[in-house]
Amino acid sequence: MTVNVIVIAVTGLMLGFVGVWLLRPLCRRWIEAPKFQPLHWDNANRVDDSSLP
Amino acid sequence: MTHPEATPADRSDLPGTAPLIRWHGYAAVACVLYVAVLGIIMAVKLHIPEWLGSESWMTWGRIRYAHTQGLFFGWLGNAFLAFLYYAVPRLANRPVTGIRLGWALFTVWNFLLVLPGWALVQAGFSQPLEWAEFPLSIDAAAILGLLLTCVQFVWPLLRTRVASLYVSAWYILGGLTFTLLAYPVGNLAPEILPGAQGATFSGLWIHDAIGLYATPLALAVAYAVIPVVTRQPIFSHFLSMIGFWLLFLVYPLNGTHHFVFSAIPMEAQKGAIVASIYLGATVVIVVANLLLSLRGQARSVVGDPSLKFVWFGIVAYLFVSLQGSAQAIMPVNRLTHFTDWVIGHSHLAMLGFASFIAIGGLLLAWRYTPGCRYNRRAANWAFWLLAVGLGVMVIDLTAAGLVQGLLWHEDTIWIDSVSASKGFWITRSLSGLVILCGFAALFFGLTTGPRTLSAELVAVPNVAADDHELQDLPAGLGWLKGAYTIIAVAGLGLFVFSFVVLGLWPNQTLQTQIAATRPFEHISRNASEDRGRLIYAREGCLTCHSQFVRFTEDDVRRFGVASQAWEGVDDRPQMWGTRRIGPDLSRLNGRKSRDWQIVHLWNPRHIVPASVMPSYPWLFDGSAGKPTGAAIDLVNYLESLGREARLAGVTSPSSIAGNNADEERQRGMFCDCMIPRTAGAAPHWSLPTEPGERERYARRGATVFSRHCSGCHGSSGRGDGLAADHLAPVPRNLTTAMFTDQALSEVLWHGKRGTSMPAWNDLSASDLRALVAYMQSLTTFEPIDPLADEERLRAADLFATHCAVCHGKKGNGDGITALSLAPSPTNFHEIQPNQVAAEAALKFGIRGSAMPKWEGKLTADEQRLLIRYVRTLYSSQELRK
Repeated sequence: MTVNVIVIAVTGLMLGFVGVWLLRPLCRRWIEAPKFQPLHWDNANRVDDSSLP
Repeated sequence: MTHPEATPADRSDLPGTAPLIRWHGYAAVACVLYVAVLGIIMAVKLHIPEWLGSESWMTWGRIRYAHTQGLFFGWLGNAFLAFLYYAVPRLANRPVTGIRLGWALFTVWNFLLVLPGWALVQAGFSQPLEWAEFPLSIDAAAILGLLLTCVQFVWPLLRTRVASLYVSAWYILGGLTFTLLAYPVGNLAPEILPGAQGATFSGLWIHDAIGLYATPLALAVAYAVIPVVTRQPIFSHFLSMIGFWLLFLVYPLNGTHHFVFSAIPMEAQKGAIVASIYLGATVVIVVANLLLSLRGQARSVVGDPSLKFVWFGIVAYLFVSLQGSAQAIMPVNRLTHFTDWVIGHSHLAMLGFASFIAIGGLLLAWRYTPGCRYNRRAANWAFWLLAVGLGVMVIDLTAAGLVQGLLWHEDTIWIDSVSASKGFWITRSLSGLVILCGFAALFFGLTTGPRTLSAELVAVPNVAADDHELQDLPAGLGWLKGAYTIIAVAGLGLFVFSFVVLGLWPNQTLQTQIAATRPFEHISRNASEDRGRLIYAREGCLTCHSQFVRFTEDDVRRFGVASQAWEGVDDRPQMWGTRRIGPDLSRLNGRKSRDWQIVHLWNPRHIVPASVMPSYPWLFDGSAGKPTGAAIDLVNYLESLGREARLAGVTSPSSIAGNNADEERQRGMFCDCMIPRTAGAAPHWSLPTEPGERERYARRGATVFSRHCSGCHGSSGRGDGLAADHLAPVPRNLTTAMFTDQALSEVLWHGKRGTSMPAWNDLSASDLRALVAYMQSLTTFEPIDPLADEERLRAADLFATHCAVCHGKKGNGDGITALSLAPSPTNFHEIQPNQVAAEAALKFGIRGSAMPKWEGKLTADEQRLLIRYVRTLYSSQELRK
């Protein structure tokens, strides 16, 4: 019983993700958008520290 | 488009958080140095057990508690908090909740949680639960600390639009909220629910500690460090979200895999195994995404210390997760569980994965925090020292675990696995020194070198990307407007799911099972035994001795009947344990004498020369002969282990509920053979008659004797071992009597009732035969003056009058009182005392036995006659000539 619950839950979650990915192209852009955020962190503070001891 | 909430004012919190980042960083490194020192002390004690052994606060079990909790709260906790102060304002695009709150959190975390926790467990106040060793009073501070952490970091993220949430934010939200919920349940439920019922919740927390605290926060760090350093976005945010959701779904379901083959319902065990395999698959997705995010960045990985640490942590995460999945599978679990393999696994997880990535995050935060000193060279040294030290340690412990598991599978005596491990343990100590040097280098990396940024250089983080517009929610997904909607599911929903599936549900089954199987009359522990249990817990005995015999053939053969659910109904919290350096103790009742236990606690090496168990001198008043009440309580508790099962007549394991017994046996899960080596008559270890062969056996026997018997009987068998003074009756002087093969075989196989001589039936047949040969070689034949017929009649009459009531009419040791005497009277047909020993026995009696002194009751002439008479009874006399 426990095993069945786990297998069904995991499979359902995976299918949900894949289904949305396949069927809703807009979602792809939406879900990928946040990945660019960290590129702008501390841009003003970037220093080349490779020469530091 | 620009994020509407992204105003400079909202984000200008860096000057306030910088000191918090620095102080959490300093605290983290200070803690990890102490943790590493404790780890080295523990490692060294495994091959020099007396080192620092006279101080209770430095005993192995207590510093093991301090080691793990210090790593969790002191090192990882502070390191992650430092990183969160760096990352959350950037992820949320707004400040953390409050700077004053930050200092309150720092105070609670370090001065109410870590430092008092260490002081208390080392002073002897602890909770005997893995990853929950700080006592309940400290748990209150831990919960307060976790609550403040949530207020400080979760609140800003909850105010962020879901479309803005980068994967690191998801992991931070999920990890912090889940831990806040899981920690109290994992710590309190086993205090309320006894035995197997509590163990279901303990198992969950053991895994949640790494899976739902260390893992999410480490992954949050990894997902942040990679794009910031490489200036390249991660490979796929979609894959990262799949990994996030799968991880939070299956990680909480893993916990019971720590108790495979236990009395926890098999359904729950199988669920944990399946979840563990799913977890391995999930981690492959996560690691693939992270490593693909580093494509083309080899130069950055090599050149940037923080990225180098993160890369190593990602690789370690893959290995340790696949290893964890494999360990959960029954055939692997049967071999590796309780061994050093698991210790290697946990070091790879907490050090190789979580700590390496935490260092990566700390170094990144350090470089962008005003006023921090950063020494790049020292950071690089830290990487290589830690990587080499950890690599050697993990390989060494994994190999040690395989050796131990294979030896436990064989018919070897337990201490052989300890002796075989010593080389591995020395290597482990050396690798620990390298790791300590690595953390020392990290300390220099964070405290020396030029200061990183000046306050003027600090610019507000630019969270919202102008060139990568954040997308509005697609049609139909408007319900995802607030991050808190998702968090309600991630935090509360999955928490409830896991605790129902692997906690509450199995508990229902257990209650039914216990009610159906427990003995009609329950024997509770008395007050002394209860006090002894507290001492057992405070000294950390469970860190080396398990109290659960698994349903495996090896366990049942070695320790006895598999532990059943009803046996722990008084055990709050359970102390099943997850490691065996010493043997399992759940079937200890009736196996060792009280004297044996007392001397063993005073100094284990007095009894078992190769033992690595700590001594407990603080339980004594200066000598083994003066145990305090605490020592007596502890011995009483040890003697109570397995008593109820023994008295209830539990003699053979039963099938796990719902399974086919034949099928289980085929899978090696249990055997219906009870305890084969302790039952039945002793084998007769007859020796070859060829002189050369007998001497060869005797030479080997000398080695075996030295390892196992010399503690009591002395190195030359004179009964003058280190433990001898404190045992009653004293160990036999083996040089003063001759023994038949049968007599020695019998006592080696079954032990000697009423004495401290334990059964040695777990020695191999060849070792037992060698021992017989060696012990027979210790004495030389003394000729006896033959008795004239008249003397024989008179001696027989004396013997019948004074000795036969105990020793039997024919001297077979089977007199009418013999059955009630322990130790049993000597059988003179099997044992022949020499002249001196016999005279001493008659003159002084034998302390600790029913043999009285006969001086004054028999004349000197009668004594001499009796001695000659009993010595003629020895059946093998002619053979021995």
